[in-house]
Amino acid sequence: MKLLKILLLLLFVFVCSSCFAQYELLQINLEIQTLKEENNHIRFSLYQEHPDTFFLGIKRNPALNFKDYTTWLKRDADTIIIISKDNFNKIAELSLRLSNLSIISGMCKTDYILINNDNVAVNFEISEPYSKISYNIWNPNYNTKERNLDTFVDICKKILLLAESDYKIFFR
Amino acid sequence: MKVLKILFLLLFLNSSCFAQQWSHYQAFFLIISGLKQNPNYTRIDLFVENDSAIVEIWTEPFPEYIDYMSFERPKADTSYFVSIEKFDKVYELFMALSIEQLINGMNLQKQDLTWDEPTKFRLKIKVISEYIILDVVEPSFNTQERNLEPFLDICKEIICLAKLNSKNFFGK
Repeated sequence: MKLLKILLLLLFVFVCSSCFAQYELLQINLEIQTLKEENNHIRFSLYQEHPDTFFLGIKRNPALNFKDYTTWLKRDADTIIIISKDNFNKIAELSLRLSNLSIISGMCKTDYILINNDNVAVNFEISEPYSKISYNIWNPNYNTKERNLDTFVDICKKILLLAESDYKIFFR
Repeated sequence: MKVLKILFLLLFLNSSCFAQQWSHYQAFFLIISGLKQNPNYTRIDLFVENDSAIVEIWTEPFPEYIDYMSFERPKADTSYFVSIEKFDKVYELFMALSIEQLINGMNLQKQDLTWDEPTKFRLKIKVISEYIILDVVEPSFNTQERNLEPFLDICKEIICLAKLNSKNFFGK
């Protein structure tokens, strides 16, 4: 009976672990562009390369590739940080909660357009080799709640925290 | 009292007109490349201008920075008006699309790419200066498993508005 219990427990652990290992090919990119003199264009890429090894690549001034917009794997980096699977999964799961319905209705509120040097353009991508979803949002720190961008800002903050970058450098 | 009622009515009418106006800040762009036919590229833009919906079609790609920098686009091959209701139908289809479902249908396990030059679909919804882009490779492959039926429905609706035959794009 005890053996059966142990076997069941092992099976349960195995099922759980296989459930969580589903982001093998998922890549998350966060690109931030500002008009400031320093750090005006920076990209953070989160991905898995070897089994159970997750990376966060940071690239300053990434080249804009207009020729081939389907170049989805943006993995060139100046700095690479190893992150835990847990942290990667947390961000992946938060990304799943973004809703097009609420984000689009928030987009119709034009009061986020600031005409000064504090403008921030954020491009957030969730991709795998067959498909990619991109969000391009302006000044997400501005009127966040009214524009339904709470989750979006939360993801940005978590990625910047993992990258040991200060959120306030980009968003005032 | 009557005056008050009329005033309320006017206020209501005004606000409903305003709401209608807000809902037409969106524009749709469907870009299909890598088609196994001549021309192998089709771009369909759908937007509202002066209370009319406009369809524009290109069969020659133009540099992406034109879109990116909001420069004037080259002249379309074909351009005509369609009813606002048809535009609204595409918008409703887009709003009903669940990005969460799309992400759940993403292929996150390793699988070999079987196409040398796959057909790529890019559906972009732009609201003023913010946007969401869905990039999908070969959407007619494993459509159901990849939860791509709602995505295909939107593409078919736009292709139908462009008076093109969807069979040429989906190989069915």
